[in-house]
Amino acid sequence: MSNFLVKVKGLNSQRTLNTLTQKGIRIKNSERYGSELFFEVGKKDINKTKECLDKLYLSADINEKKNGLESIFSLWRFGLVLGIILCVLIYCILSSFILKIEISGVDQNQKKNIIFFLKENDITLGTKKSELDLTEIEDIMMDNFEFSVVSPSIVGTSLVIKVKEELSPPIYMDLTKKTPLIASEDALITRIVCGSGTKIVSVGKSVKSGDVLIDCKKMVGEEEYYVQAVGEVYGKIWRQKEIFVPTTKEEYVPTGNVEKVRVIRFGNYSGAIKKSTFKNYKCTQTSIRISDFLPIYVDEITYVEQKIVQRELTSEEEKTFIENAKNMIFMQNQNLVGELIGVWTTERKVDGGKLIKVIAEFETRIDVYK
Amino acid sequence: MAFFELTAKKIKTKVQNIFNNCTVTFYLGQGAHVEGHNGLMSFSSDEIIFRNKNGVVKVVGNKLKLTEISKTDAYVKGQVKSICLEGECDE
Repeated sequence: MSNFLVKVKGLNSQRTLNTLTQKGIRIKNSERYGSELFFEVGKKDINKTKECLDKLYLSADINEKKNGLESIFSLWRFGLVLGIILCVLIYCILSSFILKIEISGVDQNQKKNIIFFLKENDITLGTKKSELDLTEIEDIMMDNFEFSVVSPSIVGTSLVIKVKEELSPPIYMDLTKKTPLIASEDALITRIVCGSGTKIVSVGKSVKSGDVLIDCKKMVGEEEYYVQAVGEVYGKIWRQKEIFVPTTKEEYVPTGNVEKVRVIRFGNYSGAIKKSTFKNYKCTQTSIRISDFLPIYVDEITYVEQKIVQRELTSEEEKTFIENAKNMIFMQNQNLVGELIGVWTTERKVDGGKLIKVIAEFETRIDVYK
Repeated sequence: MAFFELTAKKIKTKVQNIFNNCTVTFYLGQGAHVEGHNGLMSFSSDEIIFRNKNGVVKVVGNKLKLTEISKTDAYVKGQVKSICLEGECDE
């Protein structure tokens, strides 16, 4: 509980203390400095103390004295609140400035050139975000550098500039004629980057092999121009493999009948070996040398009768068929420059088993020159 | 109660004499506890005087402070050198 610190001015300090103690007030840490008396009283006695001092016509300064823990707590709370306010202020101020410039798509030397160029155009660290015009940045970079794509954006406190130096050439290219870009196979368009020419197709459209994707003809107002079509078109293509999975499988199972035949052999020469009477069997042979000096052996041949049994394929064995089909698809399409999106199977029943079709979907470039 | 009875027996006096008078517990060099006083007469850093039934009790020393005082008892902190009683004593 907090105490109250009382300061009383007056010469007769012992009379003051006596009066207070006679009223049942407990006084603590009393000290006298000249004509001033200092002491502490508890919270429950403070009102009584005030009354007594008033009756004695003594003026007193009364201050609440917090104990150590309360002082620390309130100080800590004050400090915490102040700290939070300061942090928020600093965050708000700093978040309106650019603190980092990131450039991707070029090598280190080119990055340095771009940063130096931006500096000359007053775009540096510490620039206010509101003062930046992203369209202007894109325009000046396109005018001053040979980039095909410049994409500036502000992410948090970073200015991120994505740059593409030049479009990679399509797989098949003949630069002597102005030719359009066509689809190399049936596909579903997922992405188009048009560098030069007119886009004929759009994302989400399905095309057949030979369909024009980017045309050479370009309209500028009412005038027609012919340019070399340049671009990259990506689409989903499918590869499939059909496999037959039988319902049952033949297996050899031992019946339990065994025949043994012994033959004496001298070196590599032996007598006639009696053949087994079983129709289907498994044969094993063991040899024991009976002489240390001469190469005389006794060969024991064991015939274990087996029978053919038909049993149903387990799901694990069926999965193995499907895995093998998938692996064949991947091996046959290793030269595809693209990304595998998904694999699924369809099946239909036929006599003796089922036909399972394994279909793999890839995303790859499909543009070629006509 | 038993403590006071034993004390009274040892010093061959009556128990009520102990209760009716001021009791001072003296902690050498540390301080003193005064019980049964009738009020404070004066206090300074060298001397604190309490009123007693028959006289006064003086606590003499250096750097004396009243750490706590109530109607009947007081705690004195400091280098207490001596405690003396001035006045009449009950027999």
